[in-house]
Amino acid sequence: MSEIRLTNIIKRYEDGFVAVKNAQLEIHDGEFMVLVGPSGCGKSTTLRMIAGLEEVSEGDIFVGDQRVNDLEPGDRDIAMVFQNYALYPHMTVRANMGFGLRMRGVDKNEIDHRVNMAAKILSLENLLNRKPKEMSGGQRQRVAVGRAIVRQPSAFLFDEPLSNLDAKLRVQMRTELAKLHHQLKTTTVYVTHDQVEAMTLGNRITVMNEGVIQQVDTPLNLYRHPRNRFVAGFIGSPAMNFIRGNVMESVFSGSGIRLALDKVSHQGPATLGVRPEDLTIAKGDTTSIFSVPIEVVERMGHETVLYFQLSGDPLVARIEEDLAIKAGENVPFTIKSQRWHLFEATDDELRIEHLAHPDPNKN
Amino acid sequence: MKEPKGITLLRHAVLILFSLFAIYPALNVLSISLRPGDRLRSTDLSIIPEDWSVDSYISLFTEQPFLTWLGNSLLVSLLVTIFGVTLASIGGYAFSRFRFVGRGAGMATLLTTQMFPATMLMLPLYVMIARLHLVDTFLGLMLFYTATAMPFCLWQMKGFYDTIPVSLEEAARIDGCSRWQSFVRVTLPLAVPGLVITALFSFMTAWSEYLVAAQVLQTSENFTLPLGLKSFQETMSTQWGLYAAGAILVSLPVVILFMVLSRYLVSGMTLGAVKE
Ligand SMILES: Nc1ncnc2c1ncn2[C@@H]1O[C@H](COP(=O)(O)OP(=O)(O)OP(=O)(O)O)[C@@H](O)[C@H]1O
Ligand SMILES: [Mg+2]
Repeated sequence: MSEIRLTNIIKRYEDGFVAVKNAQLEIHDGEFMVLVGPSGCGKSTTLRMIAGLEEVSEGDIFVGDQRVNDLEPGDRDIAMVFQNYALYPHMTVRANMGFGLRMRGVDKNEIDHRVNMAAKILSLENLLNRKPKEMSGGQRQRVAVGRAIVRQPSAFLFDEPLSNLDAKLRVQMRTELAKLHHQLKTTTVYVTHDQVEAMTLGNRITVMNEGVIQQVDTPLNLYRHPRNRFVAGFIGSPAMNFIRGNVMESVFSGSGIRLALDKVSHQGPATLGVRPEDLTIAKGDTTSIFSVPIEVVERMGHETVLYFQLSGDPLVARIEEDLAIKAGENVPFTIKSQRWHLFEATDDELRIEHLAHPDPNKN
Repeated sequence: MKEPKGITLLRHAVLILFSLFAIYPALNVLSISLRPGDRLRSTDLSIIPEDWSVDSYISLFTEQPFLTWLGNSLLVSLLVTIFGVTLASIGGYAFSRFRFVGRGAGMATLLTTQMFPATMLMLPLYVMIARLHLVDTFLGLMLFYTATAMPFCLWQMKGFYDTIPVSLEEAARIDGCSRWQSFVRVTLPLAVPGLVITALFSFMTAWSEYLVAAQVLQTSENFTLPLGLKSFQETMSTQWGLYAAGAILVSLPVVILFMVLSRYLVSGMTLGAVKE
């Protein structure tokens, strides 16, 4: 049993700054949980509290059935991979990986055995006698992961482990981490602000903003049913388009567009959200909802990304074909049937549930 | 990049000139130590005089209490080094890693103490040592040396620890180390260049110090080397040969130390300049 539970966690730093506000989080046994959010939202703080590197101001953290608030990091049976790898510069790779076991008094042969196994999984066999400074960034990253897995802990904690790698290596390591988790099935908490990492690695994702957990759900549910405008805008790239306006009798109007919404009881100010891929070009006899001059065209081959403005709001459309559109051209747009989100115009900007929105579990 | 020959020549000429300035006095001392008798002034320009002899050196060891002084100096200097390194390695760590009340003020105070000339401290120091009944004892001398070397050592070590990423200790703690173990097993080994500089500085503070030793130590058996050397001067006629021979022998260990440790000195001085 190695689920991790945070109950009413508050982190108040010495200067009085509250970095994590009343966090509730349950990470299931064997789950890969990703923490995402913009810089400074408290992801690392949360992770470091789980690790025991940062004290909890209020609330409890459980690993399995044990309350770990007052345990030393070394007694929590967790392993952590740091953003800067934090390899011991004066030790060889072998010593680095075996250090945690050595500290726990594990038998020498057993250490060698486990280090060799980990080295094999991570293709580090030929580097075991090197010092960290004699290795590339990608190799160091592997050693850092190796140091975590030889311990066979009940949970792995990662703090932006891939952010120091170049784009290609990052993709490669990402798939390796996914493979590794599939193999080991160890409970994992993974901090990143790269949402591609979040979407591809996570069994579930926790989205944080300004110290508050916004939503916890599977990647696709987050994508399709964002709880509020923040999550809607944060998950997905390019980000969701937002249009401010008003709803009157199930008709949204704002920024010069009118859109009939089915079965929405909401009345009054609201924000309409449309994902870039849900905007399409009106062809034939489909009536366009709005028609605007395109400002920038990005042709990627398999898709075309169009940037334009609607009454001052910058919008993006992603069309899944190669279109020979030029900047300045006037293009008529329509929104795919029922592919819109509606958000309250309150501080929380909660999403307004509407039955007509297609159920993601059915397609 | 290739520079014009003229510049290279000029550069070397300047360097050689300054090297001569630095080396000449030392060579002169060597020369005096090898002259028989007490010929301080000599028109002879050769470094090793034709009638050279090592009489002065032999006399140092046989007729003079040179060995006693050497022992005293070694004892005092080594103990001061051990005190200094131990205290500075722990204290510097605290200043670098912990946020406590008085941390900033403490660092500033330590720095301020470095701004007073040592002679100014002489009188209050003597009074303190006297009240502690430590006049003419090594302990009194060592207390003062350790105290005067400590601010520099603390700053040095603090600066050094600052360059060692905290995440290394955090990794160690997650690997099962206590705070103390992470310090001993991870931080301290990485701080070796800093420790070496601190040790060298502590050693030098004690090894070549004269003024304070002259106040605290009074009997000839307790003299450290600088005091002993000076005592050759105090009689009506200075024994220049002994004085010079002694000076050479005193500086020898320091020269050797510097040569052996130069590797660390360079890495210690450049470490902070490069980001990890
Ligand atoms: N020791 C500290 N004292 C005071 N405030 C702190 C301290 N450490 C972090 N903070 C603040 O807490 C907030 C959350 O920091 P945290 O490191 O958890 O952010 P993060 O989500 O990991 O961001 P990033 O993506 O940039 O790493 C930030 O606003 C930060 O300034
Ligand atoms: Mg962070």
